[in-house]
Amino acid sequence: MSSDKKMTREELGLQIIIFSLGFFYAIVYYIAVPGTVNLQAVSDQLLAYITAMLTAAFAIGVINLTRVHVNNIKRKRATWKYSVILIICLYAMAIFSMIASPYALDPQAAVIPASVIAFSTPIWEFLYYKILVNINSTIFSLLAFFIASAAYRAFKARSLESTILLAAGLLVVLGQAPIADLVWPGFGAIRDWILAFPNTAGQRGILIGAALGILVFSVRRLFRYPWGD
Amino acid sequence: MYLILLLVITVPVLTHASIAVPITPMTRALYDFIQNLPPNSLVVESFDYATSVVPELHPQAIVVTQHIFMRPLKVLFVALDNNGPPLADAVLDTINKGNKSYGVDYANLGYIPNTATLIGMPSNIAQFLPVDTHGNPTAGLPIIKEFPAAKDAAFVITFDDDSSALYSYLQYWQGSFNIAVAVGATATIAPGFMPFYNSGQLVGVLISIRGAAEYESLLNQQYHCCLGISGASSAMVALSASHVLIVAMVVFGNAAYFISRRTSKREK
Amino acid sequence: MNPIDLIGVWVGVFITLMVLSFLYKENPFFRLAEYSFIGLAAGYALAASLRLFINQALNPIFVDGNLTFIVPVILGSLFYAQFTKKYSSLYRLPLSLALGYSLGVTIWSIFATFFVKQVTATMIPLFTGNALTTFDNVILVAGTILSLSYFILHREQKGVWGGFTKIGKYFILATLGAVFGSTVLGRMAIIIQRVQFLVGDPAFPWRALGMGTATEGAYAPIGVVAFLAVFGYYMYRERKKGSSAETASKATKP
Repeated sequence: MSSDKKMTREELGLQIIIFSLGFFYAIVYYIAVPGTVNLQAVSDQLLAYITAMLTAAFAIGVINLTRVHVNNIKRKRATWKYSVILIICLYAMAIFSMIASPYALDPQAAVIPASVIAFSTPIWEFLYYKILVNINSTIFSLLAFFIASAAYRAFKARSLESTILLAAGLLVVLGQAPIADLVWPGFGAIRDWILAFPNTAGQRGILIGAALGILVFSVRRLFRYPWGD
Repeated sequence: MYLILLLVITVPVLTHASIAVPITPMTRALYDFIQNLPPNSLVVESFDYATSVVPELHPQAIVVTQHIFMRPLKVLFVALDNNGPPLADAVLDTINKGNKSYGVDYANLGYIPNTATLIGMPSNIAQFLPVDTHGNPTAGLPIIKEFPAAKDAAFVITFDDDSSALYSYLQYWQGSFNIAVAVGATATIAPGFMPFYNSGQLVGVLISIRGAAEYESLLNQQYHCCLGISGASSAMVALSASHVLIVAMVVFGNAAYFISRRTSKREK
Repeated sequence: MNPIDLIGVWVGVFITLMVLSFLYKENPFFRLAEYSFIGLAAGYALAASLRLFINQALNPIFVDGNLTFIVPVILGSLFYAQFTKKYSSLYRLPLSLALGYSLGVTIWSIFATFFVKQVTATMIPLFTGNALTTFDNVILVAGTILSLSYFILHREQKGVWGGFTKIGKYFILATLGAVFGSTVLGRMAIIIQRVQFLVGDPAFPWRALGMGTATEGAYAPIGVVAFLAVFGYYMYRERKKGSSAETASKATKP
């Protein structure tokens, strides 16, 4: 199959890079070349270089976020006051994390004075454990209420398909509640059976299908098939 | 509706009601595996969850870490989520570490930023994670001198909230080096791991806070300790009540639906 | 009792209730918590990423003296070219390197873990001496094959083949039902722990989550009452504002 669209020289160059590196890593797992070339050592060294390259992109997300919200503030959009809060929280947390978190730039106080680290540590712990962890957990906990609401409104046995879904779901919910297990141990056994057999069969089918799809996509992308796309 | 749910949860919490938790085979399998690890084996604990699922996975991390520290094992803490290192530190602050000392029996090597690092670690840990979370060069730690490559690990357990970490360990560590893998999973993704447990790729699976409560119960049965260490056991009555409420809501919702359908058919 | 931890508990209670106030309706308290969260999470991620860049890219150059790492650092810095207009296409070079390596690694890792081992695990004896085990094995093997057949889309799903794919669909629905059932456990676990925190339950893992001890935690309900007072006052002000706006608009109508 060919495409009308031909690759430019730049695209061809990039595709050669993709193919070379991809082919090397695809076969290094399977091939050990005896003699002078230690493929594994070459692979490990290249990995170290790729790691270094990828970590260099550390600031992209923050640059984007800053640009968007500084823009909001400049143009005094409806949520500009919240953007101010966001920017302040962002850079305050970044500074305190660089001084006092497990990712501190100078944990052994070689450059940053130990007194500054000692002052910053409780502030960082406050921001992280008392604020960040609490907000994040609570946002996820909102879903519990929405699940309860959906259980009443949306889960109706309108057809055979929805009945199967509902039955499997309800049996697993019941089997998970320790009290149901104590009323009748069969609930727990049914839940374990559903997870171990019908669920495993369905999940395995999905897993194998997805694995095949990813494999095919990877090989096609490596060879850039259909050509030029 | 929301108030009913809050009430159903708050009453058991306020009354401190407790209930025995039946043990599932997957939790028992994990417990037995750790209990039977040869002395001086290296265990890797991977903290791969964000702060959003702390209520589900943090209790698991506490009980499993406590069990590992009660056995003569060496532990390396790593993380595939950047929230992992402080959460690992928080777990270490909570448990009883016994005679184990940092650097000799355990170390917190911090965040693994990408799969390239994960793939490289089985060959050489210090090359890919050069400093630990305290700023010490990894190569100088006695535990790394004893186990310079992650392929020497007997077991890795990942506390995972989105399956990517588990898949990484299965692909790169178990696939190439046959390292035993287990997972402490959130309830949402745990059903997706059943094929791996069934195929023997996983030695055990802990599911959410219930898995932590079961593990706590097993620790208490063997060592007569640790009940309540993670807060999981105390949540079981509230958990049961909320589950029964969900089932009741589904049943009432369907009953109302069928009654209204019958009524509208009669009117026709 | 540590006063900092006590204040931390009250701040945590306020933050929790600010987020939960969304259940009533969207309001400035929730917005404030939401934007603060994004800022804090991004700031923390920035510090983590910077530390890693120093460990894995700069330390080999400046500490170990390995100057070959200058090349990947320069290549990595090309990611930032996307912010310029003239040189924005340069970011494709490091991206291609990363893509090539990922594709290559994916090919061998996916194949072994997700395909070979899963297919091997499905090759189990169908008929064993035990009726229950036979039934279980038939479910497992047939279910896997039939649910996989549901995703074969290049062939129309009708007739006998349609019957197979229909059964495969039922297995997938059972799987989705199990996932829903399991999700309920997860979500309830999170809200239960939040309630334990708000009522100051000693069983809440205060120390393990850096929230002090149960002694400070016991005062959490005071924070709940304080927040409800503040939020109640806000709701009263909003309602008053709404009714005075309504009165004003009625007055201006002819």
